[in-house]
Amino acid sequence: MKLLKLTLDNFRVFYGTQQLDLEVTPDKPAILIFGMNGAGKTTLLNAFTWALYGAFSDDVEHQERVINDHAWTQTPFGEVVSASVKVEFEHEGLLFTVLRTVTTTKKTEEQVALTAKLIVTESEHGVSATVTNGQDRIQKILPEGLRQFFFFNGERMERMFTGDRTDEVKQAIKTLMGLEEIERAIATHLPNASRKLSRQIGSNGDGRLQALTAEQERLEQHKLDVHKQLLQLSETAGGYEREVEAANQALLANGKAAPLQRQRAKLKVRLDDLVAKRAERQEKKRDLLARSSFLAFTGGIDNQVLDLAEGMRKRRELPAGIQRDYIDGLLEDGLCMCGRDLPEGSQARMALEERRYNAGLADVETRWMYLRGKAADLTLARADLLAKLRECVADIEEIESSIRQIDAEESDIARELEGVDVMDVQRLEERRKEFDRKRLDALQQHREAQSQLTELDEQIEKVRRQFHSARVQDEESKRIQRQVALVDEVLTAFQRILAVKTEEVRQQLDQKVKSVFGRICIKPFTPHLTPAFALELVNHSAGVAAARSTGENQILGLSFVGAVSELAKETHDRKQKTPDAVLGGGGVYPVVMDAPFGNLDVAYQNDIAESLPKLTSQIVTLLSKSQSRGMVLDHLGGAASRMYVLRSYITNTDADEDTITIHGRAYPYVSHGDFNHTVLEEVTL
Amino acid sequence: MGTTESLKDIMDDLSPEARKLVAKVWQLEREHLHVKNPTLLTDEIVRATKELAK
Repeated sequence: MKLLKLTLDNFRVFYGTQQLDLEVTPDKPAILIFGMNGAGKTTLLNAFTWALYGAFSDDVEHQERVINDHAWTQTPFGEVVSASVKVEFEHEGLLFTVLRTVTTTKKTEEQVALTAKLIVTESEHGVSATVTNGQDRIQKILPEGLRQFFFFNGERMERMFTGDRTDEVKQAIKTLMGLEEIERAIATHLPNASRKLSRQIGSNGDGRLQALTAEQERLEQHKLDVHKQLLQLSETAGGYEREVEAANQALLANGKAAPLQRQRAKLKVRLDDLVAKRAERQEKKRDLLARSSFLAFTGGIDNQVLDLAEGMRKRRELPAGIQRDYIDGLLEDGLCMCGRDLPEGSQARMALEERRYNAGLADVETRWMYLRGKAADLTLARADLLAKLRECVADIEEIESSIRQIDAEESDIARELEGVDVMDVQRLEERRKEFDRKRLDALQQHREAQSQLTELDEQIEKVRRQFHSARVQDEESKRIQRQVALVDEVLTAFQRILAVKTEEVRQQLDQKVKSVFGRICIKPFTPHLTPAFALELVNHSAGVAAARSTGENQILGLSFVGAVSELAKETHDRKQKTPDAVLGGGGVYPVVMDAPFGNLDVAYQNDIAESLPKLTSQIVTLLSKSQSRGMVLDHLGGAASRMYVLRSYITNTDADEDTITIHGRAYPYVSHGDFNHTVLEEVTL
Repeated sequence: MGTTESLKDIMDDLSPEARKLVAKVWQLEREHLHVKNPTLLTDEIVRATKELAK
């Protein structure tokens, strides 16, 4: 299958007619389509699957709104409006056109779900014909079960190997590799043919054979009932298993949450203690400042006062106090304390006057010494205040640093606890036990039903042997006996073929996945496809199952898709070279992928970009601007036959217009417009 | 059932009629694979069987 052209007409975000030429050359198998979020990359991916299968992927919202919103709004009530997608492709030398259309007369404000009409046209040597049952023809070319391998979203790729999807994937591989047809022959058509032949022994035929046929039919009916019961039990056990798994996950989340919550509680105690200490230090600082802050303003003044007083003392300018008053009284009275007269100019008077000059000085000296001492205390007190304030500030800073550290730790814990449904552990444990008990009961019943089936198979086999070995007389019965034996021989052969081919496909696919994965993943992991077709990842340096991240799951998914694609192509090529009647399966298919890098980091993006063009002969890749930087664009751009930009027209003029640079040239990426829509524009290479 | 045997081993073990019927059934199954319940397929196998084991 080789895609040639995609034409959209009023399809979802695409207004009017938009066309995508998809032809590629063998050396440049890639088509690159760039578009911003919401521009229509996913819509474009879904345009293929909608046209081919009439289905959207689960992540597409408002699936009923197939007709472009603007086209719908513009259409007056009572008028006809339509939307369509046309896919043109080539398959095994024939040209096909698949056109799916919805048409309606507008009667309501909102769109309602419409039934689409499908027209498939097949052309050979210029002669076209409408295919009567178009959907069947498409199913024959590319069965819908395979669409997950060829039309997919890289961001959702990891889901391919989780939960219920494993069975779907296994079935799709069987379809692709031609195993499904063998299974159908074994399970339905050959047993039916055998029964039909057995029943043809008429009432005049061999009575023994008739009885054996009746017995076999009875046993097979019983087997059908048991099989039905088995399926129901599988479903029930699966449902219980999902419940157990959900409870386990919740328990695990709670288990993880518990130590974090304990840690958070401890942090809270430490935080409260630190906040109290900080308040205490701040109070101490405030108290110090209230009581002694004046000291901060006396720096220098005390020394000035001391210097001044020292000078005065030296100059004897300091007042002497009360003793001088006493001498003044003696001089005024003219009588000394010793009883001697003190006339003017006398020796005694002059001596007393000299005494008066120095009188009180010792007192001054004493006081002076006291003052000096106090001034020194002041300096010490100031230094002490400074030291205490510094200590307070250092303490506060240290406490605040610890508070910030605890805040950061608490914030980390809060982030880890986000989204955890903290439930009662005991209740969860009870729920898990209850569903596990139910699951075990269902599994026990399942085992019993299975052994019942084995017994029935043995009984049927015994009846078949009796049928084959029964000695019959009439020719007609003998002939039917031979025919039944032939069908049974073929049935046994198909069972052996299925076992051989299943293992062959598994081994080939296992090797391919290993090879593709090894080209992309840098970690010491090796994928392994189990006999049950489940994909596991082994850490070969540790020899244990690897803990897969979302990124590794995406690489695994991509490797798997690449491997399936390569294997299908190889099988197809082998079939072309050696036409073999019993060789089935294979084919050449395009890959259309949205967001191929999912959430991977740049190193992986580069490796994937390098590997993508090697995956298949045609690969249509839908990328955003952020996914197409540097090496990514170099690798993909070098392998591209064509490139397109999904130019978004937006009505919000507050948002900036934008361009995307491809090979050094800027192309409009986001432009202002009259209404929101997207236009496909080809990039000139 | 061993998986070391090859497709050729299995085919070689078959009678000439069974070998032909295997090819026919495989072809019919492939042709009808896209149909969920092909009504006529069983009849076609019966017819092919009758042709081969008269």
